[in-house]
This record gives sequence, structure tokens and C-alpha cells, in this order.
Amino acid sequence: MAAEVATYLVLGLLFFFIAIGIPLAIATMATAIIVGWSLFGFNSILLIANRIYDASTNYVLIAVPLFILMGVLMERGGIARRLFTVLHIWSARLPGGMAVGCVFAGAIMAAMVGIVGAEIITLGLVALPAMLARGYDKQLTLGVICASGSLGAMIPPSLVLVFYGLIAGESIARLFAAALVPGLLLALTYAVYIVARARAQPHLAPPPAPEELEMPLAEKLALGRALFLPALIILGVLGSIYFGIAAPTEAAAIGVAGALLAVIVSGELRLADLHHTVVQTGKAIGPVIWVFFGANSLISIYSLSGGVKYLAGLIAAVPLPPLGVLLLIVAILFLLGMVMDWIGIAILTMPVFLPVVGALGYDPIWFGVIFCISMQIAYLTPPIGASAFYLKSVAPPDVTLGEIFMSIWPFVGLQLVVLALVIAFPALALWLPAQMG
Amino acid sequence: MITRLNERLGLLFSYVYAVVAVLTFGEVCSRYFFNSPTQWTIEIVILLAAMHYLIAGPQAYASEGHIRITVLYDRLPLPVRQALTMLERLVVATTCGLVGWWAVRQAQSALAIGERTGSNLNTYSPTILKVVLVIALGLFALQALAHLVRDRGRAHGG
Repeated sequence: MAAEVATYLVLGLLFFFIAIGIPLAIATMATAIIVGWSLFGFNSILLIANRIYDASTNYVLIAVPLFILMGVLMERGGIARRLFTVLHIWSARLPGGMAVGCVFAGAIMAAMVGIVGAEIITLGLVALPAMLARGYDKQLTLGVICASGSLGAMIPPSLVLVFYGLIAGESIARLFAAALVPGLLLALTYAVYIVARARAQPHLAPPPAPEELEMPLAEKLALGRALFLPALIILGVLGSIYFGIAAPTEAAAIGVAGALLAVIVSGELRLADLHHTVVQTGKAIGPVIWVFFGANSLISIYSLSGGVKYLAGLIAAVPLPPLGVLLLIVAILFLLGMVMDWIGIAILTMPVFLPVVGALGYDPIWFGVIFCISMQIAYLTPPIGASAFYLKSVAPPDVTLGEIFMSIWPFVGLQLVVLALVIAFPALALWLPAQMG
Repeated sequence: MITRLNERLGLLFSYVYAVVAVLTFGEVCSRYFFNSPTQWTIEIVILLAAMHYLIAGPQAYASEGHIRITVLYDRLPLPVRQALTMLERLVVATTCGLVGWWAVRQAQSALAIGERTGSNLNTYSPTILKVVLVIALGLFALQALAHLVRDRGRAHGG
């Protein structure tokens, strides 16, 4: 019975604390305390203190701050601006070329940054003014930026996958490999959609300036130099993970070194910038890590009560075929994505979902990719839609949050299509990791 | 004052990542180029990073940086929001206080035996971290109270 009581207590308390605006990290911890105290007595709080200590000494976790550090360095080094310039000139001949350039810049940045907030803010500062000045449709522009920026959570190195790997005990290298093809597929569908839309409704995406169209090929290629160092960094980081040369944490450190080099070479580095980079990284970590601590505390108390098994049993007993259960889980992820942050969702639900998914015979690596795409969608959709809030924070004042939320629906549709594809054809995710040694 | 202290402390500790990055990169280099993996980097790196994680909690709270879901909260009238914020401070202070109380116990037993990692390097990092956890939770709770005092001042000041 403890399991049932614990389940209701956890759901009720957590919902209450979150709804009244208590920080997620503390809401989960407070719930853990109340549930633990009422079921196991005052001493059970020691378990929470112990869990926080344990969680803080995880080596893989250090990849998170290092990837953030690398991303912040890149962002400060003006690499994003050059990426966008080069790519939109290269794709100038396509209908909607500037938007397509933005998608590919987003995809490449995603391979360097891995944090959605930083990506959307950078694209919002670089691509948004350029596209609006060119006369691109506002709705299309906003949607493109939100969608391309959110690729950061999907294309490796993605922090969502790092946390998923930590919780599921799966190889982060394999997860990264598995997410690569679906991530690129997402970028590609965005690009195709933009081209099709721009062809059907040319007024949405005005043609490029003549000097961009008539730029000689040699000059266009020369612009590509700006891509050289970022490409090298991406290859260095992802390559060393994929080929097992370095652990994710070490690869992240390699990335930091590479990013530092790139920024020094670009000549845009000042000492004050380095200070800001370190400080910004430090600030970005606290909120993320403490949600990790809080959710970890809660799940340890909850599994002690047998609640995890109880819930997993409930889901497994749903009279549906495996695919039906999987879709049910995805639906629950969507719902939670509306009221919660992805780290919280990952830590709280994965201990329940993973055994169910495993028992149904699904591959946990593949499920990680499914989870990642679901969180992509959660990033975009209201009412939480973190992407929209990030973009709003740097957009011109006449752009409203409502407009941003209206603009994302076509892209959410495309994400659902890719999600369906990955569910229908698991090989999309599993082929690349299968090639690893 | 607590707010300033927490913010400063967080900034200061952010520099551990510069060290962490250099050490980890150095470790990869020494493994591949000099064929001599070090024993100690991982242990030191974990200690440094963990110290920052813990201190970053109160730091983020000092600048109200923790992740909150405010969909419902934002729609409530101002007086209700003010009341809820005060409730939040109390919940935060109580939570950190309770966990902190047990963290003290945890730190005491670590100190009593001088808990070490038990590896080759055998540092005192478990003991150090358990003490830092107490400090972090203490600062977190104090920060909540400091915010509470400020909130009250604001509510009364109109």
C-alpha cells in the first residue's frame, strides 16, 4: 500500500509546489522530504543529503559544464555570425535561401553548443534582424529561428542525451551516434518545408540582394574559411567520442580547447571576455544541476516506497500492444513537457518508463532518441515553450510571445513527422551506433 | 548581504571550470602524447566541479535564477503572488534547513573517521564535499530568509 500512497502523495505535492511557482529543484526536494518523513520517518532525510552528495560526484556529469563552457566560448567568439553569413550566401539561390541558411547554421551550431537557450539567443541576435530587414515574413522567420535553435537539444553533443545516458546507464557515445541521423533529418525537413513554402508563396521570402546572387564562386568558397575551424572542432569532439578515443567529459574538454583556439585565431578575444565566459558558465550550471539533485532525491525516496515498480506495473498492464504502450508513454512525455523542465522529466519518469520499455523489447538507445525528439517538441510548444521565451528576450519589442507561439506550429508538425518516422523505422536511430566498435 | 555573499562566492567558484577544463584536456594529452595517464586528475576534477555545483545552488537563488514554472503563478493577482512568494521562501528555507540538518550529521560522521576516497591518491574529498554541502544548504536557507525580509519590506513599502 505504501507504493500507492507514495504515488498519490508525490503527484499531488509535486503538482501543488510547482503550480504555486516554487523552484523545481526545491519542489522535488520538499516532496521527497514529506513523502520520506511520512512513510519512513525523520531519518529518511539523511538519504536525501546522501543522494545529493552522490549525485555531485559523478564524473560524466562534468561533461555538462564543459559543453556549456565550449558553447559560451563559441558564442562570444562571433562564430555564429560568420556561420550564418556564409551559409545564407551559399543557399541564396534556393527559394527562402536565408531561412534555409538559418536552419543549417542552427544545425552546425547545435553540434558545437548543445544548449538551446544559447543557440536561440544567438540566432535571435544574428539571423532575426537580417531576415526581417530582407523582408521575410515575420511568422516564418520566428518559427525558423525557434525550430533551428532547438536543434541544440537534439544534435550531439546534446545535454538532454547526456542526462538521459546518466539516468539510463547507457553509453553516451552510442546515444550521440543514434541522435545524429534523426537530428539531421529534422534540419532537412525544416529546409525542405521552407523551400516548398517559399516557392508556393514567394512574397513570404523575398529574393536575395543581387551582389549575393552574382558573387563569383571563388569568392563564395573563400567565405568557407569561416567554417573551417568550427568543422574541425565538431569533428574533434564528436569524432573522439564516436571512435572511443575520449570519454564524453574529456571530449568536452577537447572542445573547450578547440573553441578557445578558434576564438583566439579569430582575434575577437579579450581578457574581459574570458572572465565573462567563465562566469556565464558558472551561472548556467546552478539551476540545471540543482534540478538534477532535487529530482534524484525524490526518485530515491519514491523507489524506496516501491512506487516506481508500482507505476511501471500499472503502465505495463495497460491492455495495449507494445506500440500502443509506447505511444502512451510519448503522450505522457508531451503532457509533462507542458508543465515541467526536461531534466526533471528525464529523472522522474525514466526510472518508471525504462523498465517498461525494456520489457516491451525496445532498445533503450532508440528510446533515448524518441525522448529527445519529444523534448524538442516540448521546447517549442506553449505554455512552457522555453524556446519562445528565449527568443522573446532578444527579439525587437514589436514581436509578441503570442506571435512566436503561433509561428511554431508548422515546425511542430514536422517534428511529429520525424518522430513518427523514427518510431516506424528504428534503424534511422540505430544504424549509426551499430557501426561502432 | 547574504545575497552579495552568495553571488560573489558563486562567481569565484565558477573559475573551477577553467581549472577543470585545463586538467581534463591535459589528461587526454598526457595519455595520448606522453603515454602516461595521470591517476589524480579525475579525482581532483570531480572534487572541484562538485564544490561548484553545490555553491551554485545558493548563487542561483540569490539572483532568482532557479527554474520555476510560472504559467499559473503569472496569472494570479499581485497580492496572491506576493503571498505565494513568501510561502516559497519559507518552503525553501525549511527544505534546505531539514536536508542541511542531516547533511550536518553526514559531515560529522565523515569528519569523525576522516573519510577518504580509498583510491591511490586517497584524498579527503568525500569529507570536504560533505562539509561543503552543509555550507551550501546553509547559505541556501539563509538566502531564502534574506529574500523573505526583502519581500516583506517591498510588500509594506507598496
